[in-house]
Amino acid sequence: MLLDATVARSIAVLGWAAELAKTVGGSLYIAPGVLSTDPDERSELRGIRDALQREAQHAQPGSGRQSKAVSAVDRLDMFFALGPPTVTVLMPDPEELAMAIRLSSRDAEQRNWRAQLGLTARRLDAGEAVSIAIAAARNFDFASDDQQALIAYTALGHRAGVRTRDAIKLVVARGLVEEATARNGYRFLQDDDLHLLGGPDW
Amino acid sequence: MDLSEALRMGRERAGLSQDAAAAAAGINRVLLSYYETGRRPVPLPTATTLARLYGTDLEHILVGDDAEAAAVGAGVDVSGILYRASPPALDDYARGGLTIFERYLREYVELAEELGRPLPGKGQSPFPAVTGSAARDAADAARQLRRYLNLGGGPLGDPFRVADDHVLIWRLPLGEDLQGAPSGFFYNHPQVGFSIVINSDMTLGRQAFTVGHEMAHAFFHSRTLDVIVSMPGAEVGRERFADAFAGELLVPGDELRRMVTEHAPWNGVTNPTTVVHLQRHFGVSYATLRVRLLQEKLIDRATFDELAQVSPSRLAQGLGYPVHPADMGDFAMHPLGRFPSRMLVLVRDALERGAITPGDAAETLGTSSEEIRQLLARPPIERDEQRVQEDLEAAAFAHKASPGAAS
Repeated sequence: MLLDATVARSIAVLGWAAELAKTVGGSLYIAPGVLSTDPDERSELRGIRDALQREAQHAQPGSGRQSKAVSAVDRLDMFFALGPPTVTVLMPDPEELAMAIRLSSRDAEQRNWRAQLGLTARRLDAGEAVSIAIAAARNFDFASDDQQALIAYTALGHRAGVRTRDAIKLVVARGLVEEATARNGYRFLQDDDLHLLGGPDW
Repeated sequence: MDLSEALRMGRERAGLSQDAAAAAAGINRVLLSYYETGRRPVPLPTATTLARLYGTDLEHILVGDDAEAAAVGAGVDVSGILYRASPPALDDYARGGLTIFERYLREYVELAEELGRPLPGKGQSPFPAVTGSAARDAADAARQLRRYLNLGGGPLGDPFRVADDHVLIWRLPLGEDLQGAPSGFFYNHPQVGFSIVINSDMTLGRQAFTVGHEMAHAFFHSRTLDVIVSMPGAEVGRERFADAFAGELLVPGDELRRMVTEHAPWNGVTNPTTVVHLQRHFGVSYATLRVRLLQEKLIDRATFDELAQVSPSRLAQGLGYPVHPADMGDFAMHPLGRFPSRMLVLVRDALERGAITPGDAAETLGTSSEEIRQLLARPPIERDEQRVQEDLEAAAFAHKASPGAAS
């Protein structure tokens, strides 16, 4: 399964990356730029981690918000430390790269093509685009909480993508996390004013 | 064309050194060199950031197509215009900052067009152009602008917000070394009008002063010039005018004299403690306040020099005032604090209408999706905060309902 930044963040914050990897055959795949192996390199997940760190620094000391932010930063650091095979960064090949560029292009012709796929937003961001291009080309499941990304994946990969909720349900089905714990964790991500996941109910 | 090679050529066409491009893209210069030489594959999001910084897009950069690139977004070579207006001393880091500004302007125009929002076009000042540098004319101009904007005669409160109501104001890192970096610049963009950029790598007081300075350019020099890059200490008449204007705009002479008269019986104006109180009252730097006291002849030169021997930040802390991190050399700021409020409104509207995705919004603002989540959030009020709000509401209603207020 290939995760985009939104689902990777959710699974990392809940601390269930190893469980999800076991559930889907041993590896969670992520596109470069969404996660980087080198801490000097920019990536969406490191950007999210830095924003949460800033939140931890600026929240009222001892508040629930600060504690949640600190915990999220710790969990993301643990996620970054997992490495392959549990978390593997996949490089796109030239065809996948070309597809990713089409998905994120400003060009009017490419936008028309994306509209034919069913997208209503003007374009996808580069991280989402390269994730979809790799997942669709290699027949991987794709996990995202971005509706437009899921539409694009379905059109190109000819199957539905999964959301955070569905990924957690897979872990529960495999018996690696109790259902009540999983439901609480998901609801926490959905409703909490730091995590603000929203999305469909369980 | 190979992506590595394309990025190198794109950077060179944009006239940026590796140092400038790396600083503007927020990556390490060595890493950029690795990307350009193919020693390391460049992740697509980073390649996209770099391409946009170079004023183009990935598909265009890959075919070396500059003509197409010019059609992307605003279609105005903003950084080229700014380079040409800049002194040769402008350093690489500052050049990178100009390029970031160009990129954000392009994003602003594109978003406004996407949402069908009309763009105002080139800004028109209601005031005649000023060509001289006389301090008295500058003070008159500042008073005119205050009247025009209904700002009254007291402190401005937050000069960034005041300016934000009338111009597009951006706070971008242009460099700490003001020998080679501008304190700010003004640009009258053909589609979005008055835009000013404040160098965020300066103390907060200096940033506030620069807001006033750039407002002078916008309202009193824009009839003759579309772009003005402000280098500290530049011996140019309009720069001296803008400095004097900023002093009067932020610290009006009448209000300063009134405050000094009020304070004098308690604590003489030669006392640095008084200067700190006055500085906080006006929301300016200690240095600006000292200069204004001297200009208004409320202190003599010897006192002016003597007041300079005190650490204003430590004195302020001792008096219980908070000291802004920027005044202690920490110039980091919240990523969304860099943008004009109108840009954030556009992004938010576009997200709510589904015209852009959260990832696209993050890419547009050069931030992470975490900030975008918070931009869209309607956080529920917590119990303690709610109690405070209820107390304040009750006090406000009681005041309105009181017989004195009713009469």
